[in-house]
Amino acid sequence: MSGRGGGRGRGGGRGGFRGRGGAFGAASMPPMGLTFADIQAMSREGDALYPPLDPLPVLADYSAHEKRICDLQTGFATRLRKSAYYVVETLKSNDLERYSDKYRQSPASQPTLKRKDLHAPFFPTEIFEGYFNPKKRRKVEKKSTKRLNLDDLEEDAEDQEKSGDERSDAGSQPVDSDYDVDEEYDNDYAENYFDNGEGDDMDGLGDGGGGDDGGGGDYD
Amino acid sequence: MADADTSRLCVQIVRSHFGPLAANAASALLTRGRLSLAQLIRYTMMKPRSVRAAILVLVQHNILWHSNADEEGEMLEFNTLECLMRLRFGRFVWQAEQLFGPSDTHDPVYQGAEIVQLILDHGKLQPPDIISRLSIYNPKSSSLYSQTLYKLVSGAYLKPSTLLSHNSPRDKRIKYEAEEKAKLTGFPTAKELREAMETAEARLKREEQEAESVGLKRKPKDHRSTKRKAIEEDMVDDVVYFRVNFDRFNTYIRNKLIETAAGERFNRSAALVMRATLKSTEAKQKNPTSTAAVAMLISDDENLSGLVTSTKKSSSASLVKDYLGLMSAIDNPTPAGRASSFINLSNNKVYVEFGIIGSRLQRHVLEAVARERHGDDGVRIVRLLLDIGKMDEKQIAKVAMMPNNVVRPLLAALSSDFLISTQEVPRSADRNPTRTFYLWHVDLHKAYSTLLGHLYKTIYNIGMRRQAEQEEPIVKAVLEKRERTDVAQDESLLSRMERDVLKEWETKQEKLTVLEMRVEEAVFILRDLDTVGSNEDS
Repeated sequence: MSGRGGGRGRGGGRGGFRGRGGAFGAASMPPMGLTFADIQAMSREGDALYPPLDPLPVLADYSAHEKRICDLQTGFATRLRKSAYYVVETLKSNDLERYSDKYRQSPASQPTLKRKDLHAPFFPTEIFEGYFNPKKRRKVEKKSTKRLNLDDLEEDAEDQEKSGDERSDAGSQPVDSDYDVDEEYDNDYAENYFDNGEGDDMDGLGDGGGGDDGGGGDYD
Repeated sequence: MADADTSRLCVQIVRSHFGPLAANAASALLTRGRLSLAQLIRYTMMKPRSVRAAILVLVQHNILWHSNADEEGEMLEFNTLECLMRLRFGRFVWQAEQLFGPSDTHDPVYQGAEIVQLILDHGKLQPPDIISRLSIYNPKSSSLYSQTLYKLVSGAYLKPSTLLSHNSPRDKRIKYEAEEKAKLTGFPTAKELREAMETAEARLKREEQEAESVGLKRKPKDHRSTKRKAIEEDMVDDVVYFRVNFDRFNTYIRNKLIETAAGERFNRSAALVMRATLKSTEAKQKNPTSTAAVAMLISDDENLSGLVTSTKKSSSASLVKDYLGLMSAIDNPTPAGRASSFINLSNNKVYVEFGIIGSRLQRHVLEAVARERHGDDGVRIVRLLLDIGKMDEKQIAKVAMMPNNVVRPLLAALSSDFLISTQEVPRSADRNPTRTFYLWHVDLHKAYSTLLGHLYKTIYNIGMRRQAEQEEPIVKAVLEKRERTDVAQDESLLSRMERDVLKEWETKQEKLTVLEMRVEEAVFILRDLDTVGSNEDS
């Protein structure tokens, strides 16, 4: 019984396959009810990027209320431009000094964020402190864990991960602190590596190759 | 993270308000999602000091969430909704002007509007700060400002800014779920996990509500008045930082939309009655109001004409009753009538049907877009599918009374705009396309989100146009000249031609901003109409 059911399934599968092959062969209708005539009738050119709008839309008149709302909205942008919340960087410019420079607004004349205006608990502490105390923060940032003690690795896996994260955090800060750490590791290798070519004998390259072969041959 | 249109618009808003450096930071956060400070510095390639300044500014204005996870350190996430609300600030201040009018008509100073404007300028402020900044020029007005401040806080127009509101809701939810799951012992079953998630969600909501009820505190009781009945009075807590409660102002925008809709559907007097109904339910919008209350709110000099009545002189109250009956579609008790009603009138109680009106307004936007892009035939198909549900293409052609060769390309065009979509019903087991039914239907959710994306793109384009006009060489030169300190104090230093250029630029700017406000209203209908209704629990 199972064999017969299996046979029928197989036959059904074959039939379905045949149906699909037959359908493809017999130029079947494209999906969603389109006909080939429709597809041929469709234009082959791309649509224009800005097709002409007819009629061109015109802004309807606006009331005094709307004008007031607009003035208030633009007022926000203008006030913010002059406030401490507009972030600027001072760049050194090499242009000639001009007379009107003293009248023009420069990035230096932009008010800056003051610590007393901001409520510290609302801000992420590291970023807050990093902005307002740039010098003090560096001393606190240096972590002491430099060498991993393999014996303690299993027990303190989490601690090491945390300090590793913080070290990578420190890495994003001015490169000075990291530089010192790295140099300690690399020193041994650095001194031994460089071969300044004094001992090389340029004529003996072929022999060197032969020597190498000989060296390879030694394994036999 | 947000989709391309939203993030582009947010970056543009941040650039115009907070400068290009902050915009760089915002764009990195929007494209890459949640970042830590180190990653942000690396992706923006800016100086660390500028990045920190930008972060502080954005946190102060509530656009950035931050959290301190154990493994990751301090992570930052962008709050797109808050950023998009910045487009409505002008509207909020205008609304405050209308609500809290000037105390002295000879010297109109809109205290409420000034307070709201100041808080929007700074993101959040403490009451003593607010009052001192506003009464710099006029020390005597500080008491007026305190009174208006109290009115604003007690009317929930300002809400306190709490520590919790600076953490992203997703972070909080993850944290609470982790805590709940930690309480489960052994292997948790699916049901326990679900319960843990629900408890976490409930805790999140509860904490939000509790935190926002802070703000007013009891006035210290006057010892002399112990003989009189002790009236409990509140006053504004001076330590709390207040920010503007956007939802409260959004209700006014929504009410105005409903009033205009009633006016367009019926007539001007119906709009007046609608306005009075909405005003009478302002305190608690879920509660019903009575017809008498509505009648009271209509002032005597407003002419409620426009109804045919049997008697020549009918009182205002009966006219109001008639209008309310009209708007509640009493004459059409079918589902279609109910779907077109504005209010629900039963016994003497009037409920405004916010849900029905909201979905109807959203449908109007959808149909308007379909009409613009695909003509009246397109609207006919969309309406048909909205009413009936899912239909085959041949059936559509038959019911809509349009020939087949017109229907087919229209359906293809509508579906490429994501207004309608197909549902496949296979006839055979192998889903052969030639042997499946394709039923067309309107997927509202998909259609609305596509439309919202288009609207964001439109607003972005308007902003770009404004920027382009500003950066045209002549206009740019004049604007820079105007920024000079000597010219800023004395406008007559500008030549006649420069003043003309300036005036022309200002007209253009105004027109573009008006256009932006109008498009923003459509954004409100599609995005905020449901949530305003659901937050109306208080």
